[in-house]
Amino acid sequence: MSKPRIAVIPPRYGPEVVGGAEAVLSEVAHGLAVRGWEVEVLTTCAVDHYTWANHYPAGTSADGDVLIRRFPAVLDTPGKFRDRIGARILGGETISIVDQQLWMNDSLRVPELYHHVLDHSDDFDVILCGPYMFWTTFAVGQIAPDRTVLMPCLHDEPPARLEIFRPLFGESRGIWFLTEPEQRLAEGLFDLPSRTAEIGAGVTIPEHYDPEGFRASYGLANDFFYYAGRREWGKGWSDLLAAYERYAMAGGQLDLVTSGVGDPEVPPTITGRVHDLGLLSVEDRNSAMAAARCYVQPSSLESFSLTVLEAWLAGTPVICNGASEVVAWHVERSGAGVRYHSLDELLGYLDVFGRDASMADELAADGRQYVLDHYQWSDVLDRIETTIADWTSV
Amino acid sequence: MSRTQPKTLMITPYPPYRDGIAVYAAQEVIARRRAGEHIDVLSPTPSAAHQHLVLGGPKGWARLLSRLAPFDRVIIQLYPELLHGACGNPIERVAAWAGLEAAVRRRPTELRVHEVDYGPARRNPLERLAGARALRAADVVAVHTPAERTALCETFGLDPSEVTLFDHGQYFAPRSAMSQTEARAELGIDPASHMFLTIGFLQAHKGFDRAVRAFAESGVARPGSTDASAAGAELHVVGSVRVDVPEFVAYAASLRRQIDAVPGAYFHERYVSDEAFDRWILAADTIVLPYREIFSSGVVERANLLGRPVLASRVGGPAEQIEEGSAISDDDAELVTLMRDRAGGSFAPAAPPERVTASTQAIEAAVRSSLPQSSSSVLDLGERLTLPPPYSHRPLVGRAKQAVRIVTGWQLHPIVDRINHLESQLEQVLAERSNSANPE
Repeated sequence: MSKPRIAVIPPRYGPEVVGGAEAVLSEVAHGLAVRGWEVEVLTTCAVDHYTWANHYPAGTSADGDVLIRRFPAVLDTPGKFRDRIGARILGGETISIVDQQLWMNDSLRVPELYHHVLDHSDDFDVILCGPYMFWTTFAVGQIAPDRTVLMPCLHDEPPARLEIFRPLFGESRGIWFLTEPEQRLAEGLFDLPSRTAEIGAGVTIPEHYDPEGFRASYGLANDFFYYAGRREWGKGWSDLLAAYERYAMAGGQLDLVTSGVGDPEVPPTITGRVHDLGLLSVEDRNSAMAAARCYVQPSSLESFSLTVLEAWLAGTPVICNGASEVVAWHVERSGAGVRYHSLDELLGYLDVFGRDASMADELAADGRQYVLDHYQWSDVLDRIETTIADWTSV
Repeated sequence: MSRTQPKTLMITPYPPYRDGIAVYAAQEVIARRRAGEHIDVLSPTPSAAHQHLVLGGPKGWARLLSRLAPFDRVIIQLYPELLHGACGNPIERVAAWAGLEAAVRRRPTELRVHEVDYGPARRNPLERLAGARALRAADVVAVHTPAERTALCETFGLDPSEVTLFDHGQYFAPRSAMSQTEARAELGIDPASHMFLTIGFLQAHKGFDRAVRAFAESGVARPGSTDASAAGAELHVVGSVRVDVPEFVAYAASLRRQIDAVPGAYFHERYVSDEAFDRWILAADTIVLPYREIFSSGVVERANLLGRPVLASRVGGPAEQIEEGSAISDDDAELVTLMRDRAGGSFAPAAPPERVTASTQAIEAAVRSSLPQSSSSVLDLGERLTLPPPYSHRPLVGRAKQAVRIVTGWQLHPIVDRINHLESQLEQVLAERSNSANPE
């Protein structure tokens, strides 16, 4: 019997790519390859989701057992429709279908990827696309809906209410959600097919942590709060900086350590207290999690929040933005974190945990077991294979 | 594909845009590429096409000439917007025809004519002449129905032998493999009813209102019946407004009101995928298309492909497109009669236990209680508005921000102050109201 074949279509793929959804799709690709699937990753040549510059060469390569096919990202429009209509979308205006389509097509496009799938969709048993808002998912995900599984990574945001996304959600062969709140949100926004499942995502369990070695390597003498990810307004980074600035100016003793991509734009008043380590290796990031007093997740737009689970796995509690239903849901279930609903509350938590390390340790106690109970890759891949068997002829 | 294989450029609207011609063209591209042909696509707006170029007028058609060099052959899916969409006067319209002629003479070209705006050509001899020259210059001029061929030939003085008939559904393939039962189950349609379907973009010329009126007058609906034999008929109207021009929006609103008043009629005002389009057709017993105007109908072709009969009005191409089992009505009364005749007949992982620990709640409660009452929400009015800091670690960005602040600060600061003043007043009012509601 021939191996089942799956095409995994993330907008970006590679070791330099920072993005939770991309990381999950990469793990799914490799996990299924280990289980005997023939896996192809069809993606762009880009690393940066702002410039979409073609970083990798187009063509095929191998990443372990996974075949990678890269296609050039095309960004040849001025983006004026994207900006103008995007502002109206964020303002909650009603947008015509034509304008919604202009908005979607006035940024990244990948015609060669589209035509590759157009030519070869029948070669695959399953086509896995995500996240929902990228052109790669929107356009390619509608070529062969009868064999397309969507991993939307949906957030509660104005674009999710656009009508052009309804066919993608409504007609896919099936939809995999990462969390229950994400599934609830989708059920409220779309007419979903009957074939949906909360499959979650796995967290790779590190073999060991080296918090002291990490501190020594990066010259971190003080205890610190930690944030890893994209340092951008949409991820709540500016809120965290604002609260931390107040904390530090009021005499708070802990530093703030951050890693990831984006210019942190640290105010001059706290430049010596905020340590930007840039993009860390997985090992260093894990050790940073273990070394931190608390991990702070300031983003309200999370569909899974891998870093929060990594923090708990490392025995570190989480201070999260309560506006993110998903992270608040994780905190509610694990009991290993706190949720803030204003910058004053965030400042309060920085102050509480900054003064009392034992309270942080106590709060984190159940976090690791929560992750081990729910988010191991073997369980997630079992759920993936079960749903595929239920929904398709594989 | 071999290196010597001819290269074809198709000029057409293209997915992920969804309109009738884009969907039509995509099916042809899929079929021909899978058959081994080399086909690239150029669309008039950015899309999944390999290239895009704004056409619609003489400048666009002139710019197209340089794009044709790598190709051996060209197919143009022709419709009025593509040819004349950017033209403001008759001279530009004539020039656009001339631009099309120049393109057609550059490479062997098939003009697949979907629609032509005959009015201006009939009124303006110069446009008629320019149109005839462009059409005659093409390798192939193809239309979908004899009626379209007649209209094209009469308008531009062509001989019928110069215009080929091209099967509208030649490259159509089913996009759903569901049975009628499965499709109805998926869509929540009563399995026992006779289901009429009217589907497409909501525009007055499609005549969907005529279908609703005929359905109401036919008296074939018996909604609410639990007796399968007496389940009666249902009419489902499916579609969305493609462009929110007032005329289309108003039409959709009036259609909504009309359907609300008709028992057994249902309005599914939604944007449907290609697969869902087929699923609706598969679920239906009869497709009702009382068009007021149409050239040739993609819906009729899909109904033919999926084996569903059509009731269409006698305008444009449908009379020549329909297959056995379908019928044409000459007026609304005949449609009522025809409808009467037809109607005769997760997997979900187990929810983990709630494990709210006292410590989470205790710490949250402690921090909250330590804060002023107004700090309980991110909408907290206690957070005063400030302008973003005018600095950055990137030298040029920091200087730019400072320059912007110097130039705009005198305008922005009063606005910020005003907003903060209003918030302060609002807080005061809320506090007073709270005090009066909870007197000590």
